[in-house]
Amino acid sequence: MLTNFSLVLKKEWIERRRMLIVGVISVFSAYIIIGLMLGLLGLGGGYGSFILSYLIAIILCMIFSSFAFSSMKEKSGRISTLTLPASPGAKYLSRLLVTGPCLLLIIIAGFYLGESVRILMAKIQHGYWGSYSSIVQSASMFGGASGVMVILSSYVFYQALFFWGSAMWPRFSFIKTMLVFAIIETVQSIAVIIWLLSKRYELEAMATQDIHAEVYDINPFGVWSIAINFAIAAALYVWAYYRFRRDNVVYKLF
Amino acid sequence: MLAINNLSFSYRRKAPMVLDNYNLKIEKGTICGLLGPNGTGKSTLLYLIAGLLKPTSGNIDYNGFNPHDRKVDFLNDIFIVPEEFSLPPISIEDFIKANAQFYPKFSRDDFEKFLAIFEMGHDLNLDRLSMGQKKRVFLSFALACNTSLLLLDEPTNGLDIPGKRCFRKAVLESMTDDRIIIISTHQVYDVDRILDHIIVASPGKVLLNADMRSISRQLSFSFSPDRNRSQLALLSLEAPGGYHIVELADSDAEETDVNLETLFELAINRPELIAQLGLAPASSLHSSQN
Repeated sequence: MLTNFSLVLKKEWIERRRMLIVGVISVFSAYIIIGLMLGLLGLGGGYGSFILSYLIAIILCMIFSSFAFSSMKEKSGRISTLTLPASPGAKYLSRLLVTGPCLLLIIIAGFYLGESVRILMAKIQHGYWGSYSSIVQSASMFGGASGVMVILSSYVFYQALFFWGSAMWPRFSFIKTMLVFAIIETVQSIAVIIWLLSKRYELEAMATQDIHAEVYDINPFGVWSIAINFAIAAALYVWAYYRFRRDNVVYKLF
Repeated sequence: MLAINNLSFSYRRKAPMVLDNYNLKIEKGTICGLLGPNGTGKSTLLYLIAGLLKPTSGNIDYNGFNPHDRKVDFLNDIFIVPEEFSLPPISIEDFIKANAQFYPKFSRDDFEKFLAIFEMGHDLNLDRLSMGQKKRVFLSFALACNTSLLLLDEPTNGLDIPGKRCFRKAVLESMTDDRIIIISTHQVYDVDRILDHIIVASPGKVLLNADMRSISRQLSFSFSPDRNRSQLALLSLEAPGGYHIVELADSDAEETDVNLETLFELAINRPELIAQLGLAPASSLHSSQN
């Protein structure tokens, strides 16, 4: 199933290393800019800065995942990809590895690089050394361990969605997948509103408590949210694989 | 051997067939020319053989493989040079490092030899080459992979006159008894000296499928200024100074070289004659009678 997987990775690195390096630099640059801004303003280490970092991570993951199957945009690329002597699994997994775990690691490294810049700027600008915010600590502000899992499962869901979109529509992938994303978010928002309305009496009774702790509480909503995100992501990965496997030289044949 | 059995293909479910009930067998040790008017499915046939498209009906067999399964052992023994291709913006050395590893029979010495035939150096960056130069490098790589099946779609497009001469030399030098090379082209004069088998396709069917020897034994190709002779010929094409003509070969006379352009016109305009001479597949006779 993964015949010649290492050869595919080697080929991808040799042929696309300039683009991959530019990608890494762009991720680091985004977080360095955030770090500079937060450091100059004396902010950071809290709820708001983590939300900002998370949003940047999501946007970067959407963009890069949209390019996972960019080689299939043109006929010449499709011929080259489909006739490469490697199994479909090897070709698919190499793309998933780069836009999935590798990208996540780079984003995490970018986050800490940004934190370093923030702390340094705070020292230069305001004269004090701040402290690092760890990703896990920051994510746990959203409701403990389940908050961390909700954050992670959301990231995986977005990555899977745009990776799937790249396999389905190699041309204009980002725009088309964004439309799908907008529809999903609309449906999800409606579902949340309906759920909140159904719980309004309980929520009114607990008006002094943190609403986010209620929404992301491990029982029952948080677990369902995590499970649904991972399940949909898994389904999208499988769908993307079968789409890529039965691809032809002509775009949108049938 | 490459066997194509009752192959039909359409790009859309309810559209006419681009290929209709094709039957072909091509033996090893053959350089086969695939000729036909625009839109007759020559590139489509190459894509089907390479496994890039799935037949609507029928099947293709190459050494026991179904191309559309795209098994690795099949893919590492075939190579297709499409009409339009793109190369990554890296050096030739890096290109070899990235791609040669997939082809077990790739030979570095052969690659150097073909680069020399094409008069190209090997310490060049692909993104700084012209289209013709990229083609020379890509063809050198394709030939050096030593795959037993090589598919070339309009290989001389983009090559200058010396480049075409180099192409002919390189193809002949790369040929072995175990290899099949299929060249799809409109530029018949670029390849007529190297082909030993001809297929002429028309929309939907094969009109001619024969080796050069069989063609030469049955047809005689010549150039004559005599208008009367041209009118008695099987086919004549007017040219400056006279006519390119095709006549039935005289068994006592010496065999003539095949004029591919005239042969092509004969196959297109008189397919029933081609079939009667036994130069067409049996199924095409059935199709043409229908």
